[in-house]
Amino acid sequence: MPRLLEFQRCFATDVLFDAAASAKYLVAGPIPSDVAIRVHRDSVLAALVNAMRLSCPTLSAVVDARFFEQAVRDYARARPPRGACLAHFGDEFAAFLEMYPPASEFPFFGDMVRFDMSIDETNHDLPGTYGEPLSFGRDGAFRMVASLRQLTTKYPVDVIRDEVEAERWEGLEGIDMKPQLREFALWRTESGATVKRLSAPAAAFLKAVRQGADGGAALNSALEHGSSDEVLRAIRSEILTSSICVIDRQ
Amino acid sequence: MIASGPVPACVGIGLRLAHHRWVLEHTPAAAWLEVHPENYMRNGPWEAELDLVRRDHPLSLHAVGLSLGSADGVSAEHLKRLMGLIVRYEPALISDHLSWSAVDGVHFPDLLPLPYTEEALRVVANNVDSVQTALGRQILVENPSSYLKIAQASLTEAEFLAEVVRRTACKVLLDVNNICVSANNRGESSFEWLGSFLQHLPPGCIGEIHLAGHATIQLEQEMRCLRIDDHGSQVSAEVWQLYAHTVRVLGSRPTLIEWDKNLPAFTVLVAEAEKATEVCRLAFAEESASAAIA
Repeated sequence: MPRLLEFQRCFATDVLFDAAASAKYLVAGPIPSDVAIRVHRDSVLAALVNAMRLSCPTLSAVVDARFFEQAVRDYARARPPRGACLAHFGDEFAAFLEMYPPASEFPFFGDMVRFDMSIDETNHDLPGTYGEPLSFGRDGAFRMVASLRQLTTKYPVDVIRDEVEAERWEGLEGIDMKPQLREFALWRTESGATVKRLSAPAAAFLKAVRQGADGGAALNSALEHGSSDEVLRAIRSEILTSSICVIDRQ
Repeated sequence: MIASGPVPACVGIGLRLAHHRWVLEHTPAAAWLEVHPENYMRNGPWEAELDLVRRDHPLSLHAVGLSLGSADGVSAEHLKRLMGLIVRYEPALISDHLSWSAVDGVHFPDLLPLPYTEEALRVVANNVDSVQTALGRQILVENPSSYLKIAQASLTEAEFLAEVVRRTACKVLLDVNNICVSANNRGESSFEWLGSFLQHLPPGCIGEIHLAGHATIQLEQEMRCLRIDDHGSQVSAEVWQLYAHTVRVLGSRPTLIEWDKNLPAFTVLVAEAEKATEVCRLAFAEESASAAIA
């Protein structure tokens, strides 16, 4: 095996796992080797923690800083970054937290991260671009905003985020954390990510459209969640009259 | 329409995301700007803002993720993304570091040290050559800051970098702050380190200079200090002296003020750039006076 590759594997282990695998390659200098390696370890960890803080501001705000750093460190060991651009480093952080023993008393952390990261990803989309036209009844056609995302959560993490953003820390204690499915649409507007809570029929309709269904098929999906009056009202008020889509009148 | 032409041989500023809006609103008189391309690989609002910034300023792309020292080679995917940015922004300069940050598909957001061996030299030269071939242009390779000594090293950093230049015809980004950090962390003279670089590198290959601040930490139970290249403060007095010496020897070069940690207002960076310009002017004046006396 080439010695450079062996050295790099050892050094990577030392940086990620607090090991001393590369000690055999190092010689004593004015700065002790363990101190020097710690500089790199701290630099790597600081970059990863900073990236996750930006992506997950709600979790970062509600937990102790040491807990957050340790969780990111443990996550990095389990799922180290696979690209030089850290945009996707946190993709599995929510699932990781749901299986992370130190967070076992907080089953909503995963949803909290999912919600934050969906907003963060939406903020990185461009506003004002729309998909292909979709026929819908006699009204004509509509086009969905290209940045549209949907998210389902089990816990009221949207309420937690609102309280954190408003710095109403005392409000956090009063939130009913009973599990109950919540549906959201997220899309990018000129002012940033817009989040809208959806009813079950509107969410089903939107999901079907995003999966390629035509207007009629999407409507049938929505009808599984309510009467035709309820469904049409929900689609009209939550989707067709919002900036999620633009209507192309025929 | 974008600002065209080469990066001028004067002082530019490292542009960070937090300063986008300010720069767009005030159009500061920075001679040129440099960004990390890894922050612009999502084709979203930041990239659109950089389009606007680019209209008024020559640009340099200073990469941190090519991992030119990786035994695994350079990531084709990362290179492709970089090429997309080059087409979009038409940068005058493209650079990365004499270091590595990826092994076995795992990437570290840091510049990790290389052993300056013949084997590492072949790897770096091959990787630089691959990148230059793919991009169809020269890149600049920056000397890193270092904290430890690697046993296998058979070349000094200056010798290693000079040989990379000879084998690949790449250029060098001389980071004067890194020279200060590395030399002090090895208990050596930063002026001797700088002298070694200026002795081994052909003057024409040095295409850019970096200036930044670093942290100094007193080690517990040790009678020495650790210098950390954190880009979190003003340029130190020692680095200003090294810079003055560098420009006296080399003449003017595009010079950049870098600041990443504890990012101050953009006007503070402008003030640092103005100071660099003044240091240059004084260095040339002293040089002229010395020549006149001689």
